[in-house]
Amino acid sequence: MRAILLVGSPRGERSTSWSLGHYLMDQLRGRGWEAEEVHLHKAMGDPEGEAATIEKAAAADLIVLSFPTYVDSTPAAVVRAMEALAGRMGDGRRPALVAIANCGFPEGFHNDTALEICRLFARDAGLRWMGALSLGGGPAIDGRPLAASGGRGRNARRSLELAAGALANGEAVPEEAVKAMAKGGTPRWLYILFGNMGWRKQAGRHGVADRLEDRPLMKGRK
Amino acid sequence: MRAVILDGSSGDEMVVPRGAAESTLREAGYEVETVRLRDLNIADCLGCFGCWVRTPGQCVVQDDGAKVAGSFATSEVVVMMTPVVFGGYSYHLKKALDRSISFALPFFKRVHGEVHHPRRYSSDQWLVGIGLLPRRDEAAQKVFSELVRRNSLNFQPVGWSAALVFADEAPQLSSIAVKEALVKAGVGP
Repeated sequence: MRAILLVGSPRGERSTSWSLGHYLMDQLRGRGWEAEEVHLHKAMGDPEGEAATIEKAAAADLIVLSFPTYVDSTPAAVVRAMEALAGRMGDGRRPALVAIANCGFPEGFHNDTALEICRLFARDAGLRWMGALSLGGGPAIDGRPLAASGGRGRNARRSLELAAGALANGEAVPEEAVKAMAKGGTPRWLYILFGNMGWRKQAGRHGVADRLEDRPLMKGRK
Repeated sequence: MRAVILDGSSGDEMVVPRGAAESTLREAGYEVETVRLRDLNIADCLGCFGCWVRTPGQCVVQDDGAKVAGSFATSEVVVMMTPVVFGGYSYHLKKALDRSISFALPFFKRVHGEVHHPRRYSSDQWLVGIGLLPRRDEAAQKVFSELVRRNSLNFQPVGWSAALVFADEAPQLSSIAVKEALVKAGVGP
């Protein structure tokens, strides 16, 4: 059996999307699956790369789409991949699809619309929808390999292990896995506190700590 | 007063609703800019947060996406016009919207009990989403409307609305739906 991970983050292997998807792939490998990992932003940079990526996805038994939620939906590169894959399907094969979304807000429900879009993609492309996992506070993982992310990644690891067990048996993502991922790994108040501090710190490193609230596109206006 | 129509179509499929939006906005006194996103060179967002912590308020990639961001930020009315793709926006519209993170500040604040980012610009703005479907599709309609509603929580406009138009219905119905959406958002004549 073959699985393909499509990473929808432009940050590649420095992304939480990759951390989550890679851990799931490793779990499937441990169950005897072949598992390939593709970074959409890199792989779909030219027509040949895009065609090759779509062919690989169409030939897989399981497609795992792992992405950060941007502006309440899937990133543009994921939209493009979904459009291309939907156009390619129709040969009678029906690969399974599972989606994993993470966002920068502490609450995972900000991913809901993006995951609904993935569900409709499965419907329209003729894929078998196996369910979705949603993580809030994704930057707490910050692209670290999930296996090495300690307590912050505990619930996500548990979720992906449960999901892998079900998916390897051809079953949908179980509710227990959905709940484990939704728990996240960092208390909301702490995430907000460290988040706000972190942005100031990063801006300071670039010498713009006092310019965080600049309004360059509306000079002279409010 | 300025209005910008972000047209995410890949062909001429949005001609009727776009025309209806342009005429309604002009009638209401707006100077209208229509942006055909497919004709522009807009790179995908890099996810680098440079627009927050390196060049606050401006994307580090200076291509047509930066010009679209300027039109978005300086317009009182923003109309997002798109074929509905799996309930969401087209690739052309989405790549422009992904570059809009610079309109927010990095910090967290509560909006209607949820955590969001404060707006960078405090001027009043209205947001309208118009989606085109080949035919009625309850599931896709629901997701699209919810997507525009979620966007309104993030962009925090004064008024907003979402409307669906259908390719298999009479063009007049599309025009009426667009005009009603603009009125509902609070920007119609």
